[in-house]
Amino acid sequence: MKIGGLPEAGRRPAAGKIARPPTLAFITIRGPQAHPDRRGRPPHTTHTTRPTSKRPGYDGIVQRPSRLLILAVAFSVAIAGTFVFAFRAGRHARRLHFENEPIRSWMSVPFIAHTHHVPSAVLFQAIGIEPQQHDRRPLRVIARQQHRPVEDVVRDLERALASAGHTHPALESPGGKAP
Amino acid sequence: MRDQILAALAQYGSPALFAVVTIASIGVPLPVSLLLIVTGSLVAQGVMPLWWAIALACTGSVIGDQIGYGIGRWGGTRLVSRFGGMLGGPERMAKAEAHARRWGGPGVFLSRWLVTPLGSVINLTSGIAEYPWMRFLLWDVLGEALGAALYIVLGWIFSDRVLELDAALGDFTWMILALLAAVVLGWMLWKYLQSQKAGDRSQESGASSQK
Repeated sequence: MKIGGLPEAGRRPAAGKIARPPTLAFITIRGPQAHPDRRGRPPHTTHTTRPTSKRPGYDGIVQRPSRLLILAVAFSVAIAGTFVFAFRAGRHARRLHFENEPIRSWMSVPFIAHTHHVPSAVLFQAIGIEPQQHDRRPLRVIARQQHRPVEDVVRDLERALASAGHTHPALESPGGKAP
Repeated sequence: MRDQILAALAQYGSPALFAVVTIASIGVPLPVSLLLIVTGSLVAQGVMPLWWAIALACTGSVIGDQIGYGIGRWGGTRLVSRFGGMLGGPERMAKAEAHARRWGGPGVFLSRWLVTPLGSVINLTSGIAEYPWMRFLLWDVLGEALGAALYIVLGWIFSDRVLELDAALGDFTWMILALLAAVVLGWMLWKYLQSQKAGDRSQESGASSQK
């Protein structure tokens, strides 16, 4: 990198010579050739966005606010993101104590029985399956084998859980745990 | 996709856990944290022993991480020559490599369990930066063992609340990332303002000396 210059306006410099303006300097990146172009500018003279501040005001008006603005906006977004995610994490952490787990199609009957603290035999019976200790098929597989939508299976299980709530007091209060 | 993976874990247990964790560690975006939490719940239900679940998850992750590191190390020069310009050119890539060498160990360790979204990227950049493999392996094993144990034990403790726990941990991870970004950006902002002040001061002193 080298400091070069622009030719004076309206005057063509002599061949091979690089004219240097008296007041203006730009950063020049030097290439393999060092001949001036048609307009007298040295080759690879780039009007980079960072003049060496002999023009007061330019740096302040164009350069400084844009970079400052980007940094300030990014910093504000990061701070806002920190608070938003902290709030959401806190909300989920509170729910850990107060809400029951929803039923999903990937869950097996013993898994649902464990998360809702009911005997798995109750749930197996509710969907018309002979209770087996090691049956860990997900609900989607059971639904496919029974030729019915998975939503039907989930509905039957929810009904069974609701009725089991009467016989299992821990299920009456949300988040309550069976002994 | 998420439901299919979890269904496979619920049905097949250990082989599904090992396969998914290994593939995810290479860089394929799969819900590994939820998988480990559900594994903890399965441990609580007596499907598999705790030590076995942690060992399996840790081994799968380490194997996947080594593959990611290998891709960066032996395919890295091609990646850099092809995409280096997009990432800021060779100078910037060299700077990133220097950073990876300097902060490699702690970076690898923390990305295994605290800022997990960065894990596969750090595997790749560590390989590109040619971070010493033995050191990478050491930090990787330590981080993955802690990460697997942390998520599986949490899933074991909150075995009846796996979905809420996953959501809480996911938001907590993003909060940490946002906080890190805020610290870095705040530091950059402060440095920028300092450099501008110094520039103004030198200009003023130059102008007064000319007078």
